[in-house]
Amino acid sequence: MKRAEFKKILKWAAVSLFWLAVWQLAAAAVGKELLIPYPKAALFSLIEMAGTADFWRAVAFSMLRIIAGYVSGVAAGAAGAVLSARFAVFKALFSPLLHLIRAVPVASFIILAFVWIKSPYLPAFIAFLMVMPMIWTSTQSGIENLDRRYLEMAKLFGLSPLKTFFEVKLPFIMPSFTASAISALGFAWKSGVAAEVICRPEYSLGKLLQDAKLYLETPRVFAVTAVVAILSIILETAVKRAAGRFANDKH
Amino acid sequence: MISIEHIYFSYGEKKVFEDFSLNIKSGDRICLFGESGCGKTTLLRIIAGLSVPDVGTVKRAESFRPSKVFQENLLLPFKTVLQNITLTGAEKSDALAHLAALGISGCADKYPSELSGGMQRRAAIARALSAEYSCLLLDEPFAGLDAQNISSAAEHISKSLDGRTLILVTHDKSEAEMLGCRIVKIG
Repeated sequence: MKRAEFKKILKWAAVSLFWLAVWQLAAAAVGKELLIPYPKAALFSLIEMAGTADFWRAVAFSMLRIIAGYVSGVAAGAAGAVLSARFAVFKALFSPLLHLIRAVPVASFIILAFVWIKSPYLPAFIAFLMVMPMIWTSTQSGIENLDRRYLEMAKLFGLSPLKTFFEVKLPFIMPSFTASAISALGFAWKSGVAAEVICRPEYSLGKLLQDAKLYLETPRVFAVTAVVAILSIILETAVKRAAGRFANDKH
Repeated sequence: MISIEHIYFSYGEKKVFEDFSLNIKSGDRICLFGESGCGKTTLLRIIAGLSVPDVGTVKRAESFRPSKVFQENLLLPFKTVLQNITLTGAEKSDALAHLAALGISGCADKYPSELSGGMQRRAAIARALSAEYSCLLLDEPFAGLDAQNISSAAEHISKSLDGRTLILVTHDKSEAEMLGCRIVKIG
């Protein structure tokens, strides 16, 4: 292991230990497990859950729903951005809708959509709804702010439209696209789990969270929350690595 | 090769060309000379087909195929120098030969951000020379180069032309002389 990597891990461990100590102190100060459980209690609850098949099913299905919503949101947002940048009418038609989606609280959408959509599909739809405008707006601005002089250079040297798109336009647009794709993942995850908490689909982390709250199992609430946070970090790291690999390929 | 007939061109209220005509034959070497803002770069853009006059016609021969050293280099920052050159369809061997002749053969695998301003300028010249062309357009091609590099780059450009057309935009008459250009005063 390189010295820099070791230092990074050491720093991360020290920061984690600090916040665990804060948690431990807060739990000791409050003195009621119902309000703030000790880290040890949350860990035991997590170990207990991890021994059941239902927990892993919940993890798998929650991930599946949210990733499906995220991926379709990214695809729709990117397509919308391209069409908006290309056709003024399309932009004029859809920009109020994007403003509306951004302005309305996610809880309102969850309650509204719950009337129309079956609970297993609702988290995916909500994740889609959160991701799509983020990707759309930033990718569209990336396209619109593209330096036209490079396009003129491509035209002068006789590059085909396809080559111009892949070799010139795309690498310029990618930074704004990947930045929004990374931050949208966090939003997808949070809104998706929030939707699961409200609509309680079978096998979901949201349902586990809600059940733990209903039965006043606060250590379990903390344990499920920790799982949600860890999964979010893992997915975000994966997307960042993929984006980083692309950026390195293209310098 | 190019016939510009009675063109008018303006940027908003500012008139750049009024009833301007110019005829450029195949193999000509001309220098568009004039003060800043007189429309030299605009004329080069019109010749290249990147700008269209408000009125008048620009006729280009079927064989017309431009290559250009842009005023701002316009090297793609996410591609190496060699990738920037071969993107135009140029052969790798031609690209390397031009880079070597311009004294920057060691820069082929470097990114533009890793090069000095003068090296980037020579890379842009190498790209223009490596591309397939019948008419070479140079917009202030030696900006940022020292006297020795200007002289060797001009010599290499002159050799590489091989009878093809050259249109140069510059403030410096000595550059036109080095490239053997006929002066056309603009403005």
